[in-house]
Amino acid sequence: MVYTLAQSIPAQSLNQVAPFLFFGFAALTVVSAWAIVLSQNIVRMAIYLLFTLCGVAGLFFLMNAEFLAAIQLIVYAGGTLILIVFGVMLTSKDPFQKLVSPIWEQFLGCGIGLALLFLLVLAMANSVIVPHESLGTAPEHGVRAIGKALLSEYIVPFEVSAVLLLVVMIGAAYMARRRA
Amino acid sequence: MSAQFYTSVITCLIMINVFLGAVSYLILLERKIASWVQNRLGPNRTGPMGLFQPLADGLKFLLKEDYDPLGVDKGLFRLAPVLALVPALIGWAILPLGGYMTWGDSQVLVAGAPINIGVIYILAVGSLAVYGIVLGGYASNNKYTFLGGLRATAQMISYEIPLGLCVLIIILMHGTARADYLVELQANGVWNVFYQPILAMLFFICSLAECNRAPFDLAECEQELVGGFHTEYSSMKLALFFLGEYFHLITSAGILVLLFFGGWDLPFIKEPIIGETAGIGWVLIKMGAFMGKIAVVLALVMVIRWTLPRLRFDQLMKLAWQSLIPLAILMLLETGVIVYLDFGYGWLTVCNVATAALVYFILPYLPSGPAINRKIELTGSRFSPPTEVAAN
Amino acid sequence: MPEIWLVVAMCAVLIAPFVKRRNVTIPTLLAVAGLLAAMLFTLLWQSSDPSAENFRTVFSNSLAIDPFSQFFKMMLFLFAMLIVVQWVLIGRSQTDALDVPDFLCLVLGATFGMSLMVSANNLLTIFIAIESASLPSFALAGFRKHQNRATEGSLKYILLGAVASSLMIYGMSLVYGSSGSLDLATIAQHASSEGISPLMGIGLLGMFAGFAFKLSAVPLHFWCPDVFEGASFEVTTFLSVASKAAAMCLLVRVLSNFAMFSAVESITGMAVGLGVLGAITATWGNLVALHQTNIKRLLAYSSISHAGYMIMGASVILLVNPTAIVSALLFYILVYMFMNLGAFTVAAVLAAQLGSEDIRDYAGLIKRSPLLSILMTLFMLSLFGMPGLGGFMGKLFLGTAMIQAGGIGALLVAILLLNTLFSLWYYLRPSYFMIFVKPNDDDAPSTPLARPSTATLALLGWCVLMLFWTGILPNSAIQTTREYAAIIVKPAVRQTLSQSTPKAEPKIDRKESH
Repeated sequence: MVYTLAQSIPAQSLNQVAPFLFFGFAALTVVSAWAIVLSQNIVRMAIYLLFTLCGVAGLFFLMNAEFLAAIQLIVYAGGTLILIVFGVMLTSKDPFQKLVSPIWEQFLGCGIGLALLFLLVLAMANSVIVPHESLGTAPEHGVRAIGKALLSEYIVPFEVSAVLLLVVMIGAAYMARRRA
Repeated sequence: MSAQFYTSVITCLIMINVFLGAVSYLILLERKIASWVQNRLGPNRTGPMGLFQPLADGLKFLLKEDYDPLGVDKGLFRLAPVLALVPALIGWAILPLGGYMTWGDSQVLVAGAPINIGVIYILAVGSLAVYGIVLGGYASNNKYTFLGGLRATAQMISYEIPLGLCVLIIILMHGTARADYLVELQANGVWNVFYQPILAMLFFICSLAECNRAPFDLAECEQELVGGFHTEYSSMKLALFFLGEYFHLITSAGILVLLFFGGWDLPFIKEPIIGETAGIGWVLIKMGAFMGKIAVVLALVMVIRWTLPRLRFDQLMKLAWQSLIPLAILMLLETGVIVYLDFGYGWLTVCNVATAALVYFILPYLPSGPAINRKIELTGSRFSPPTEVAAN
Repeated sequence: MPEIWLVVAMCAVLIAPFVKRRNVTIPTLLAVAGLLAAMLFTLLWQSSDPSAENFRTVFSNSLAIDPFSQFFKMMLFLFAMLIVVQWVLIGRSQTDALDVPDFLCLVLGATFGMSLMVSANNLLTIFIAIESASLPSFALAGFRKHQNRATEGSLKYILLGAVASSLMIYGMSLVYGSSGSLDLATIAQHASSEGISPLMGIGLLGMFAGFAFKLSAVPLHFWCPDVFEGASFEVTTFLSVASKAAAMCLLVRVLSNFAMFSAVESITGMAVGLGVLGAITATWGNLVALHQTNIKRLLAYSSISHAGYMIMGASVILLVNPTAIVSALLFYILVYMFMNLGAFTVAAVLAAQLGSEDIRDYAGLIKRSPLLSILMTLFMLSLFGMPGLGGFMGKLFLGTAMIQAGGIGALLVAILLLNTLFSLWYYLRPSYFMIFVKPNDDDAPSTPLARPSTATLALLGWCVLMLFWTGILPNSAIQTTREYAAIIVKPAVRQTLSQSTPKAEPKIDRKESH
């Protein structure tokens, strides 16, 4: 029964799902980003940020950049954000502290944000965006290609980031170290 | 592509229900194993051999009052169990449970999601599992739950590192991250556990810690933290936490089987090739093999729970950062060298044995840190009054 | 790669405490040795090659090795070494022995990032180089972590830095998206052939905002005085010169790429924008400096205005032949390095003895320590641009190079002159207090200050010597900078991912068992 059902549905049906998924993930990203700004509890902000990051990861998945999506989840959602949550929880004075900004700051923020949005939309409307060949579909073996590129063409940023992490770790350790 | 899509959907639909059922009986199994270890009978009143006990438990969870204590952050409090469950639910999707199958004129993989990044996906999803616990602990607005949540988080992000390194080494060995290729390579060769016994152990230990299972269940240690991060939860919300925990356990066991114990492969019994690929019968057999292996691992986990005492928190952190991570990095180095020099994988076994010997014989002679339970001077107390010497 | 020696030195410095705990000398020597080795290798790498080989890019165009970068790296390593010396002379006694390796490691790390900034030749390298220069600087700024001011300055630095970085990387992503390349020269080529689309314009704007943060150009300059006030003198000196100079060189490289490929009309807007940015920065820095009473804050605003002068100079690169202006900038940086080093060192010595960084406490110092007062006056006059001292020649060369750019250049020179006049007021304030003001309360100590150590005096003497040398006999120096003012601009050879064909996935042979 299932077999005949599968035969009867045309093969493109999967492609028809993709736009819905795209809008779903995009909506998740944007709505949670709004929620971050509007929320007043800092832990909730972090959680909305989690949803934003997951939405972005979903968008990467839809663009066939699976590795990037996984890295997005591992590094940001799994690593960075957890540290943020940790820091927030351990440093806040009251359990559910509220952050309320004065009304003029809210208006100022809205104004700047809208101005930036307007600028970007205007620029995007006036620019001709040509898809480049290298920006087309992701290569078949994404992980392998990324690895190759990192160790050949982009070796300098790769190695420098290793040194950078070392230095930053030392700085952070110094800052966090208790006075001997 | 299309046939694969329908296979995936069907697999997901079936397997979610199978696993859900399995979870309830795993709880029963756990109780039974506990009773066997402790030389008592265990649940035996509900149904034959207590087989209906899970149903009664489930009913009880459903019928209890769904209650939000006063002073909790309601939104997060309700979100936390969901966040605990969802990553565990989607994690197993890449497990190639049933191997390949012919559907129409294309070959499909019986798995939830045959994606290219394969096991990396597991790491990605596994890294999200922390949120349920840490949020549950935070939103309850209770010091004990909060501490439990923090403990669990620190533990999980610490043990994620050696876990990721283990997965990395396996990817390095085989040059692919796709789950089905990994299984196929093991089925055609030797299971990875024979090449990398230490790694298998490392992975097993780390999965225990990732799932907050004994002896790493510090997040819910009763004598210190009342009930841990879920103290304030009741009814179905508590059940969701348990569900997430067991799902996580199943997924971890499945990945262990996938990476080290040959996935669906049955030793000495090979699938006869009829035409190009086997029919649905063999898919079921392979699924059975996979699940059977998972069940064995789970039983081992449960026996461990009633065998080993719980670690103290500093011991836990020490184990991860001073033992497991250096060991995993050493293994990564060894494997990298052997893969680069293109030696046979037999050398990996030799390397593993050598590493084990090295760790076992050399480690006691290495300089160690200060003793853990040393006496801490309480300057000014009546036990150690302030002296001139102490003030230098 | 001379930078490798910095990394080696960093590791060595970190390992040193394991060999001998609480030892200060070994890590210091190791750091200096690393810097020396880096200098040596910069020299070797350059002189052993024939001149054509001096222009090259390495690692698939991500780093540029050209006379310009080599010269700046030499200056940078020398300066970092002088900073270590200054720290040994003044700041080390205040640093706990346990923290010494951390401090040196951070200084080396920041130097590493800055030396990469000059060589960075594509967007990715630029970003990562800026980050590896910034992040250690954040830690250095807060190094005196038990002082509220240091923490405050560091926090402001981090927050503003994060905003600037995110602006920059967003801008870079827009630039990459609209030009399809990370390579600077290729982007410039694209901009000249296709024109700068609005999206790319916004991208460039964001990118330059990131640079402006490092340069402490005016809308993003808030961190500068607070960080300088909070940090110790060595760190302040280091940040005020090295980090700004490195950002300046990066800006020069980016602009040279655009200047090489683009027609003048299409990038006049960019030049004007940068010129305006520089003019505002210089003017604002000078105006605010008028009110400062803390010597560090005063020098901070002075460094902002100097950055403004340099940005004004750099903007002209887009309009005229860059050699003259680049050599003038290199000369300016060279002079600025010694002026600032000297001024901060004197201020540090004074702060150590007076226990105050307030200018008003300098009252009557001419009687108590004539030497230091005269030195301070000298450095301040050089910063202002007194003829006969290096600062004057720096501004002169900058001005003559700028004026070639026609109307815009003349306007910029006029602004430069006006600003210089303004700045005289506040540059002479410390000297005014030292010489003409009597301490108003009678119980103020009038005992002469202790003579600074010989090594400190030698350091100061060298600074003075350099200032006189560049001020009176600038020819050899400007000749050298002119030789080194050449920047390589070379588009990357397009490497598509398909060229490096991935090895096939391992073949799975279905088992033929029965």
